[in-house]
Amino acid sequence: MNYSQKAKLEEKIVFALLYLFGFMVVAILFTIVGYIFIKGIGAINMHFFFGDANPINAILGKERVFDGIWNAIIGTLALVLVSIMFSIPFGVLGAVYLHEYASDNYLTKIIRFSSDTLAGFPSIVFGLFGYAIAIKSGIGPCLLIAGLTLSFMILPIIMRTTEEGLKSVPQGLREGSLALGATKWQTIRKVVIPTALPQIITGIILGMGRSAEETAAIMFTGATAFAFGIGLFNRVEALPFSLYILATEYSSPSELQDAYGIALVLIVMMFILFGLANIIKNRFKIPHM
Amino acid sequence: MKTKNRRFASISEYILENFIKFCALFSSIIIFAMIIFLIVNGLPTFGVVNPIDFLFGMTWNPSKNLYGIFPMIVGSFCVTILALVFAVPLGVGCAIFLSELAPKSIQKILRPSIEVLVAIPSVVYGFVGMVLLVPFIRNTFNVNPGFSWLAASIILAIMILPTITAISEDAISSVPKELKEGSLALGSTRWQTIKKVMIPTALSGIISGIILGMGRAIGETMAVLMVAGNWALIPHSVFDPVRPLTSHIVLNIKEAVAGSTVYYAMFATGLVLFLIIIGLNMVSHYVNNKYRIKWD
Repeated sequence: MNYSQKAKLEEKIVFALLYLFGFMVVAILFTIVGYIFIKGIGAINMHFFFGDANPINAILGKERVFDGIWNAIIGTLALVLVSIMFSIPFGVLGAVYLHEYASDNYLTKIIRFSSDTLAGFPSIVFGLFGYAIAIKSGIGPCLLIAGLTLSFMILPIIMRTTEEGLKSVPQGLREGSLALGATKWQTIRKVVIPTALPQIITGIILGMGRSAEETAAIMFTGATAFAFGIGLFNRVEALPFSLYILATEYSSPSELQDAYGIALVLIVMMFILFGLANIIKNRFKIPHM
Repeated sequence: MKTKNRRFASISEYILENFIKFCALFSSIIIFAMIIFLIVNGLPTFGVVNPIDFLFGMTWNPSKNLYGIFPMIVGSFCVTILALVFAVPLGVGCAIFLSELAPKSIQKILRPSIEVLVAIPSVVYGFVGMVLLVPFIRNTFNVNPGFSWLAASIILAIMILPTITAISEDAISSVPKELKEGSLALGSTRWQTIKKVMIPTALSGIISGIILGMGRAIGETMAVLMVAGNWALIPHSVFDPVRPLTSHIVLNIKEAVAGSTVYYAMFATGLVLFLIIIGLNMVSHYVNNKYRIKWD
């Protein structure tokens, strides 16, 4: 075989392999999602969500749910809310400072590096940090501490996406606003941020997704297997944590079935959130001037 | 717009700018605080056991006053390296496939698929690993218990694949078209062009992506916790259960009484983990900056 034929053969083999790789990745995805879907769909019914309680009463808070995942759903929502309450101001305003006010000096380099590093930390280290805070402050693990820990985790996400959003606002808009007599802050508040809003919201949604699915950071900072009612200083149930408990400690086929159900709920939730973020990101692209 | 002019429109603008500056500094403050907490809470460990015995001790048995985490450090590296063995060919391969080979119709399926892989929570990966992968390993290879180094690495590989693919694809598509077209014009096949021109050019970016994936693998907690088996021993075969540093922390913190040596040792373990990841980040920065080819 001459050189050219060898080269063409090698190309054929490698390209076939690459097609195989692509196929494998899609197959892996469909296996995982499909398996959860098939095994989990059977678990979804009213009893799965609300146990023996009346759904309307449970939603209104009049009746306690004992055997359903409603508490975990509420707990997850509460965690997400607390986490974005802390991280949105610091993340958005921090990005505003970085992009709109700061000059490219030593300080901004430190801030950027910190944000990138924070993004790469293992979740368990955040969990340790939160746990230490809980113990040292005497508050103990609770919704507040867990939410705070989550907010530290999602802060880099919100900062990064906000900054991307600010970058995409055409400079002409800012200059026009200033030329019309607005102060810098007025410009930011009324022109820049509204224009960058889709990006910012995308970032917030991504942060919410991260908070909703995170387990290790909440394990010792406030999550628990059984909780009643929502209180900032109470422990809280959360969907990913409940899945972990069920998966590792199930003692009956119905508990395993519940685990599949929770996994399915989590996947659906994540798909909706990430899908929403994608739609917003693509629908509201800013034209360049 | 950058403010070079330091005169403020009013006092309120001054207060505002500094408040926002504080917000921006918040992430630095958090990191700083985390490091301090890790150190302050980890240091008491070394009053009971010296650092060498801690880092290189082979046995973890608090009741016998043995606090060696070496098997866990080895465990972390084992699952990570094997995960890379799976994820790098698959990930870089998919990156090449997406940017050079796949027709638009296939790209429309593969790209969203990879993005969806990112969206799956790590507990769900762990759960699927427990109910699907572990029994598969157990039955196919006739081993017990099935929870193993191999299982953890396979799950990790799937989890870090999107990172490697995304960054590699970015690097490959940044290769200037002139290089690729020049190579093809000289008579190379497409694969020869990719192998000998594009990949070497994109290499710093690809390696940076691999190191990032490595960092995520070392830091991954839940999925490995659920499939790795958690024996605190150095594994002899891929089918042996293994305990990475992250699992070690989770398993011990639950039982540890605040203020006991185990409690402090978990922070020390966290510190070790933190240092490993910072080290990887710095290597990644260095590789990216030193070997990146700058195009005018």
